[in-house]
Amino acid sequence: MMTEAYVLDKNRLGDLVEVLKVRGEVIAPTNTGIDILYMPVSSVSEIDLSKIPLDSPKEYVFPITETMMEVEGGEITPVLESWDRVLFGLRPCDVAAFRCMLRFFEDYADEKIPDPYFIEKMKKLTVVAYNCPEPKEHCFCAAMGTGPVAESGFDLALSDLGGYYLVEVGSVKGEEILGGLPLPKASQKDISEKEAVARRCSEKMKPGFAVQGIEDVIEQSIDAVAENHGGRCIVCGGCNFFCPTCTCYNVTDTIEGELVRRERYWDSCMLQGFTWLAGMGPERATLASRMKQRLMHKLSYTKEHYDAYSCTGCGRCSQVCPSYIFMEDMIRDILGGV
Amino acid sequence: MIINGPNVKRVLTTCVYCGTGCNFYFHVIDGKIVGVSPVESHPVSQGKLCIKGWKAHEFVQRSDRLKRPLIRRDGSFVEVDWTEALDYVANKFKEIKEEYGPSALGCLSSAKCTNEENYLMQKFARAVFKTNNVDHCARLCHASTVAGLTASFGSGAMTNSINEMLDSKAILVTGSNTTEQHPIIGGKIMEAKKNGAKLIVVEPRKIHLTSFADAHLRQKSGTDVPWLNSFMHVIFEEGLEDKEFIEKHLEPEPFEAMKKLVTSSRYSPENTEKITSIPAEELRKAAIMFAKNRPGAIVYSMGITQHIQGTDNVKSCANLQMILGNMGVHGGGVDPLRGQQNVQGACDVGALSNVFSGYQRVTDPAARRKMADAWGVGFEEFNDEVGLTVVEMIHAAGEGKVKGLYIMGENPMVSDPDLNHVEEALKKPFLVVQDIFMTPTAELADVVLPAASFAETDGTFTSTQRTVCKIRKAIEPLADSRPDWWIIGQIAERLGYKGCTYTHPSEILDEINRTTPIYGGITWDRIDSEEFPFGIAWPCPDEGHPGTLFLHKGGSFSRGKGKCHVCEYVPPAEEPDEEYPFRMTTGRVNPHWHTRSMTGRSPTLEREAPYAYIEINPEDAKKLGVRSNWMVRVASRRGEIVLRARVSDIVPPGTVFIPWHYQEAPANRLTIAALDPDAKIPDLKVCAVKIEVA
Amino acid sequence: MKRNEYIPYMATIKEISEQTSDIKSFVLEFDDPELRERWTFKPGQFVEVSAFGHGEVPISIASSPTRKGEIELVIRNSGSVTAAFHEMKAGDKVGLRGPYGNWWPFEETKGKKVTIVAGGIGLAAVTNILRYMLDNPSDYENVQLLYGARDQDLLVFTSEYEKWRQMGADVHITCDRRAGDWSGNVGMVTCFFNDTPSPELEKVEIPEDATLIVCGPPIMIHFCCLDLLKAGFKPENIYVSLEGHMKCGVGKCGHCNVGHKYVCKDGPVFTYAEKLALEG
Repeated sequence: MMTEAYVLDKNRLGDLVEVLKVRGEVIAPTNTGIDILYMPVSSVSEIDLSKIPLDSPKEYVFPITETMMEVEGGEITPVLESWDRVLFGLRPCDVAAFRCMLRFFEDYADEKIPDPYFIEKMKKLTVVAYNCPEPKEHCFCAAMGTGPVAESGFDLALSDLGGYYLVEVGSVKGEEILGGLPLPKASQKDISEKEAVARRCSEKMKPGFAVQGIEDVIEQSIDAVAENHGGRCIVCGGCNFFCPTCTCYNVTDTIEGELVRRERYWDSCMLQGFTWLAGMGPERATLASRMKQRLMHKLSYTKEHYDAYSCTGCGRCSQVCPSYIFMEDMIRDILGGV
Repeated sequence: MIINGPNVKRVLTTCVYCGTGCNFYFHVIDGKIVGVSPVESHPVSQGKLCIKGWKAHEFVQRSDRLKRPLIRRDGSFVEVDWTEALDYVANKFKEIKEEYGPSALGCLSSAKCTNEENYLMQKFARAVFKTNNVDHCARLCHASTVAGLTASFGSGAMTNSINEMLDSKAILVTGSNTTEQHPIIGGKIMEAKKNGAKLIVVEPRKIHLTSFADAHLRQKSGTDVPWLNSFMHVIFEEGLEDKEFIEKHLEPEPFEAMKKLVTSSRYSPENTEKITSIPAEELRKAAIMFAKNRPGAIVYSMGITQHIQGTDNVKSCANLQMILGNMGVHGGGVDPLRGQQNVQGACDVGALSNVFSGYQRVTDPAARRKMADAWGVGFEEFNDEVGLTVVEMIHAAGEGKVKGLYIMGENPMVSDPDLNHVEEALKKPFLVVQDIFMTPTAELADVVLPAASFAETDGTFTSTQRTVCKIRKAIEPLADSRPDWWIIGQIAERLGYKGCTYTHPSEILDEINRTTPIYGGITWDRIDSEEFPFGIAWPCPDEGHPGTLFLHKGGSFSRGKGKCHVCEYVPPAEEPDEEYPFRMTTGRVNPHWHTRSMTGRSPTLEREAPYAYIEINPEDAKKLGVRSNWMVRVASRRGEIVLRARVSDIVPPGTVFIPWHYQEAPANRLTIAALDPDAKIPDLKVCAVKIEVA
Repeated sequence: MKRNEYIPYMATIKEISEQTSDIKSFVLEFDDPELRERWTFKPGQFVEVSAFGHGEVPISIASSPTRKGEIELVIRNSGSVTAAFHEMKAGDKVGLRGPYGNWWPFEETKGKKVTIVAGGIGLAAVTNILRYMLDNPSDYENVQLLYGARDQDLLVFTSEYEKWRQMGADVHITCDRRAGDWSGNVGMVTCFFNDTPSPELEKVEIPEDATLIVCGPPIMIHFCCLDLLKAGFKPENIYVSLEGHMKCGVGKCGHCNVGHKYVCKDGPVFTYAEKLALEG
């Protein structure tokens, strides 16, 4: 659904950042000297797009801990924090993941009661995607059909073409932003170069599978795969915490003097205490059963319900797993090939 | 590394739970810690965390944190201000010292506090109280490691580093439920196995790691010297020892004496089978497998150390690795996994009754002179005798010999053996407890001092692989709590000594650098530099030294030549009998930490394991008429508790297992305070109990 | 923007009655009079009720929608949130939101025979449909209740059994064992209709074409359904209500996600056939 594409000289990136600052708080990958983290930035000199960070930008639309409401003196006050933000340099896997989360939170039975906490943040979010010229060790977005270029879900998308960026417009808002920064139009050659870069990036990714149709074959091998890989799980929850499509949460009340605060915070279905249903037996008490639920959810159930997998091949779960359980290995084993 | 955004701050710090030493970022928004995320470039954790790490922020800002100093008046606690509390504490200590002498005072330092705070506590005990009655919970966990490995190698710490395990060709894991207790390390062991290493697990329970083991030997808890000696018996029999290494690097006489013992028929696998219940054939196979796949590492923890023979167990592990030439090589070594995130550091900086910082002996006049000069104290003022250890101090309090006890960050009312006795003992002395929550120990105190948590102060922790790394202040201390180092200084000042007063922990580390050779070059600036962003491993004698990842390189031991020890089997202090027919062993579960004062207040962690339980083998359960989730009464000669039964074949018949975290049903009411004669560590892993339906 | 579904409405406890030593029944009323008027639900649905400062729990609505204004919840003291409820007294404020979930098949069973088999506190999850049916006698002529608990101290709604009989229900009560001055049936509730000989219990005939509603502790549901299947009833005609930890009640937090269903959205009422499929 590409409308227009332009070119931006690399040394003019700062101009784009200035124009974006008008739209809200700019969050971008920042090199802290130790890691690259998604943090608020005030100038282009703080931005580092050289490496794909492990850090998950999910917390900017789905916070690690979020106050939902406060109760004091018999009065309930909803607390809904959201402000204008620009997520700059969002990789295509995360762009696709944000769409997954949006679909999920907008959906409620037949009545479409959206989750206001998430919806409001997404409404106020401007997305500037950055198409990856290079993959990381565990990336497999190409196999999942979500990268290495973003096809939708962004306002602007940048592609690194050497000395300059290709800037694609993905929405009316994107067009408006560029209204404040007139740029020369991109040529067909530029578009082809972008596609070439994407192809080279795809080829470097290791997986060796394409995920389409996995929902049709998953039942055959899921038990063995879940047992084989899931057996090593040490129950840290990291795969879910950092997964950009995972949205499970827990809710607690805390008391501060006269005030009661109700908060929700990141939870994980891989934790033992996550699901307790009377009479469902000890099924989810085993590591394999929880791994099975996780994989079925991401590769089958959500495909059935939303016609989209809730895995976008970002590879964070593989990176973050202390037991070296790799999502791409599990998917490959499910598909039965190597 | 504090990264400031307009609303959000990320603070790089070291995890407060276990000795792996992972780093993570606190996410701080407007003075509130909202979460944690991993550090991709950390050399050990490499972007990974266990569930405790991911949720290490949950307990920090709980509303039931201790907020103000408390003094007990007429049986209940009254809030007072700091001046009143500190004056009162100082005066009471002064009175006790004047009337009964320095040996009537004692300090329990904390493996959960920073190196700076532990250094200060032992300085306080020695320069202000003038006693060597200062100790901490290492006494309950790895005191036998320190004693055993110092005797064998000259250095009482993990000899190699964590990442080397990925390159080991064989890993022998014993007495360590690694995937639950040091999950990141457990993950690396599983990965090593996946990459072809042989994994041998010697462990009574069917822990998670045994699903991947090439050999799982199930010994009776408390019978480790026999199987370790039998391993060596087999190795000598098969001629698999490293003769060259032995000749070049081991003291010949001790080696010969040890060889004579282990090769005797007493320690043949067939004979030790009767003691350990490990089938002889299985033991032979495992020993040969370990010997033939080198370099091999031994990874161990409480299952080796917490025994009446803990020091001998450790020495036997050292013997085994020395004869195999697995020492001083990459991927080899003896790797005790230190529990607390800073128990290594607390030992290193001298919070032990027999040493100053750097393991310099209190009985050594040269060491006393050095500290006298550094601390501005007269040489004659130092006590020259080894002081009381943790369990001994509590007993002395019970006998009225110790009249004043200053406890920082420790919870003996859950962690020490024979709790009924501990409770009686702690009610007697003047008790000052400094902590972040109202623990069962604090509830018995005369004065409670609210301390700042690890998120509220600067300092350093030393991980199990001897790496000294920073923690960084992310938020201001809650309410009126203060950092431990400030509190100690304030009490010292009121007792006439200014040497414990500092304006910042970095000044304390400076002093540690000056007085502690192994920490010589581990300075505040260096461990936070571009070259060493994640700390430096000791020994590091000076500022030009890069630190030492593995010890005893090439077989050159810290003490010169390695020393073998003759270890004869000594049975546990108490074994099952007709009246108390079950062998009880204690241990931990993944989501909880020790006395559960922090994890029990973390919603995610508490939800994972909210109930105390006892693991009973199905055969035993059937005979007892007990089913899972039924409440049972478990009693030993020292006390009894009531908790849920969990029928499972994780434990072998005749053995039961209780995680010791739960103050509502503390396993330590049942345990016995029998001590290892060398290390004074209690036999927490074996005692006898009886069980009935409650 | 639609109202934030996670925010409860304020409600007041009007009445508390002790059912057993650890079960109390609470009658609640919304503070907002307009809400009191228009709020309704279907029998079998649940609400998320808040003890502010302690948390929120999902509880089946025990009352029937035919009785306007009052919402009855039966809560057992089994955790920190429910313990907080047990400390409350009439006049205390709680939070209430819902109704959530699906409902008992009250439409499908119009004009048909319905038999309810309940155990222990499970009765509170079916009093909604029981009272609903009894309030609509022209639609439901054949209402049968088989109810049992371990002993008489654990029976709930004891004061209502006679009333229900008078309204036309065929009510049979039993206790697993004889204790105190219990003079009624003795035997497990399943013994009413299974082929276990039970000398101290009057056997009951369940109509062949009855729709079954079963609710109680998990182990009771399990054995009861097995016995019903043995007696020739079809799993598609047996309805159960699943209980579990839920937080949001609207299918977002993930805690009640089993397979590709959410107990809070696709349930809590399932046919026994669906329940078996869920378990996989």
